[in-house]
Amino acid sequence: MFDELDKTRSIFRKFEPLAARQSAVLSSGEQPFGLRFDDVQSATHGRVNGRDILLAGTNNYLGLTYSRPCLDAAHEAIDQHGTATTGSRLANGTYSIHEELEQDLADFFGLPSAVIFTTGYQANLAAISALAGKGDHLLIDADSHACIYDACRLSDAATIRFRHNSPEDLERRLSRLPSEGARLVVVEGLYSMLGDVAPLAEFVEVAHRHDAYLYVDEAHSVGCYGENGQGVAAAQGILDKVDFLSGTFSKSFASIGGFCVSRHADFDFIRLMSRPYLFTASGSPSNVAAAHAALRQIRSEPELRTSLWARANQLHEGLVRAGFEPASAPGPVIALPRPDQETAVRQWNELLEAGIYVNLAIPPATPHAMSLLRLSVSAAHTSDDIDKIINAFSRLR
Amino acid sequence: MDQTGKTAQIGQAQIVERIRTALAPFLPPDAVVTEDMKIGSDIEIDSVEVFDVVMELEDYYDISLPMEITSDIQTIGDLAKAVEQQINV
Ligand SMILES: Cc1ncc(COP(=O)(O)O)c(C=O)c1O
Repeated sequence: MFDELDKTRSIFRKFEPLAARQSAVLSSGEQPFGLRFDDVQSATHGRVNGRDILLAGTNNYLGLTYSRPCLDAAHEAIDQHGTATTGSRLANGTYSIHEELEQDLADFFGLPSAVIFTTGYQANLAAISALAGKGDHLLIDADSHACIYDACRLSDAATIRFRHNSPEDLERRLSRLPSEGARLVVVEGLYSMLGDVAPLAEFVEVAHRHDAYLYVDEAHSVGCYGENGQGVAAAQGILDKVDFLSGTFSKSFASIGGFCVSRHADFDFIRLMSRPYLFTASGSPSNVAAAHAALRQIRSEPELRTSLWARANQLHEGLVRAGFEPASAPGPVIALPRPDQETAVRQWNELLEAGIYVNLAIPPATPHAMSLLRLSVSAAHTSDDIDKIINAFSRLR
Repeated sequence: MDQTGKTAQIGQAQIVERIRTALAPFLPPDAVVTEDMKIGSDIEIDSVEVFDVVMELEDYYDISLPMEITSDIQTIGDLAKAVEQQINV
């Protein structure tokens, strides 16, 4: 019967523009969105269509997905606790390993409250939607990640956007708000698309001066920034002032899951009322154990950060020498704006042909409708790997 | 009208004119914008550009237009009405 529905009632009608966009991208080669890897054999190498590919777009910043401690911890956790918890944290899904990871995260950041979630996406959804309720105001950076936007939609608070990385614009918008209700400002530490860093010290000053709390998503920066790997807030010397700091286990922590820590002990109450925390199963034992092993490595192996930054500087410098203009200063994310979508798609294919995988980012997923080739650096990249990447870029047509 | 647009009576027509100005950078030079036009279909701008227009209007009129209000807006007339309501709160 569904085939007979007239076009205006077809549930799939809204996908038509997507199909057109998809075929425009596909016409120049491989499928850049959801490319199929035959397998991924290490933090830096995989195979596509039987060919060896050097991975330069996996957010595997510390390269720990194949580290011995992470592998061992994951294997052991499966043997001891099984493959899944099959339940919510509030019911049967809280094991000792979940609580131990929370305690160590609190200790790592030196903060009283730490809650882990099943994904980083859910961490933001859970924390932001629970913290900001009816009558409150959320103020979010215009370039925020989709999960921050989704969190705002789930929240009963009014959401106001301010211009990207602009404490002045935030201040203007804060000063227009009515005096009633709580205010929560949400920013990211390192922006994942362009690789730019937020001026957190200025944001926290403006926020607190206007009686607003500051929430920082450090999904891409924990493990990479700060002397101890605590992130951009720590690097800027204001970790003790940030009210809420969230992150993910899906990047530097070589697993899947997310967390939010706070200097406010009362943050723990979200466990009793936050829907994305309550109404989903807790992280699988192997994922929780791998994230915990990665946390220990982040704390005990500062050399991981040293290599990451050495490679990031090498790559940035090499790309500049090859005539490219990265969108931001050297860092774990290096984005190269391309003149238009066609060029970006074509060059993405040329790179894959040359054995290099990077991320293709095109509108509407990018700020200012940019088309980007996005690279992420890993501590597991060798100096030769980086040279190979630079070489491939310098040969692009 | 003063610099912020905060005068006693700001009518729909004035606000629509202001919306035209805010939209201009995103549209072809000869584009016609009327109150009944739908944003996104009749007026071809993407959601990111809509937000830029909203922020322009917030700054010009010194108001807050929360996303929860703007996400329900379909036409230029709806947007003008939302602005008018916020000016007069
Ligand atoms: C800024 C930001 N926050 C949160 C997330 C969500 O993380 P996860 O992959 O753990 O759901 C991501 C990852 O894509 C991100 O880039």
